[in-house]
Amino acid sequence: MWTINDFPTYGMLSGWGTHGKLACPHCMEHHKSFTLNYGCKTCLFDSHRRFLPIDHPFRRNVKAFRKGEVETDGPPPRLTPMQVWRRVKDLPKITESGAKRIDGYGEWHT
Amino acid sequence: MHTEKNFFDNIFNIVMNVVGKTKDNDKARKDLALYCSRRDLELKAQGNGKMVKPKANFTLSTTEVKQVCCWIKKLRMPDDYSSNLTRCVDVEKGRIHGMKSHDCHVFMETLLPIAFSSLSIHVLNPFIEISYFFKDLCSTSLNRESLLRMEENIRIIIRKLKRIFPPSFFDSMEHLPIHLPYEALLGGLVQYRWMYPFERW
Repeated sequence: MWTINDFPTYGMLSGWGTHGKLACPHCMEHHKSFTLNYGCKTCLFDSHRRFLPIDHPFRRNVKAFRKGEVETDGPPPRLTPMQVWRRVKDLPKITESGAKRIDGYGEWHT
Repeated sequence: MHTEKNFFDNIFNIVMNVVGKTKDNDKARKDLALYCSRRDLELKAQGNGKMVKPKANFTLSTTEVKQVCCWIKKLRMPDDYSSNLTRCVDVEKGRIHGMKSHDCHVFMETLLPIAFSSLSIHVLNPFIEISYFFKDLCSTSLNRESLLRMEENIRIIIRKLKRIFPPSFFDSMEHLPIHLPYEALLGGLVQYRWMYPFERW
């Protein structure tokens, strides 16, 4: 990825926790991950069909991928620098608020 | 760089069926029955109350694993191309240990299609494609059109892998190659971003 380090270090450097459901720093809250019932791990099994063209036959395939599911969503949006700035400019500093977790933790940010 | 290494490790362990490291275990097969409709891979009940795991088409048999290990044992690389892979292989246990990230890079891009050539063709093809994908991404010159084409291709390659492997194979590391061409588009050639010269020794 971006850094010369590996993925867990990327999480430490960037502040985006690269674990769990919100692991992908590109997809962010538009993820499609779920937890496996027996394996008890986060899985991104069905998160790639959305990147395909809208008329691709894989999107309508109900047998080969997840049972009986058809993909209709488009790919997650790519943020512009201004959008990123608007998201992060109002975040409180940890020295100011004292709270370890701000609102929306685990839902749309980590 | 580590995306490529982790991807290679996962593919290698699941195909060589390394005990303890493969992601194709009993729990994975139970999840497979829950989320996918692939009857041939589901656990089957035996008469004595035990469950048996059918052999998957993406794993090599024990003799084929031995053959691959013996082949790696005899490999001779050009000077400075990679480290001595013959030291890393354990023929008795059929596993590889102590590969540096650059060795994984070399194996992924050049040796993977040859090592797994005994697999059936519809399983082998996505492996060859993912191998060429990383080879193209690491080439010394990239242009915008080829990156956009690679971005289209990797989406289909990952989907092909999903038709073969169980859901537990796909953690976040198998998702990240999707975004690598976009990052190369913004960040430039991988030679200036991936630290192989320093991680190599």
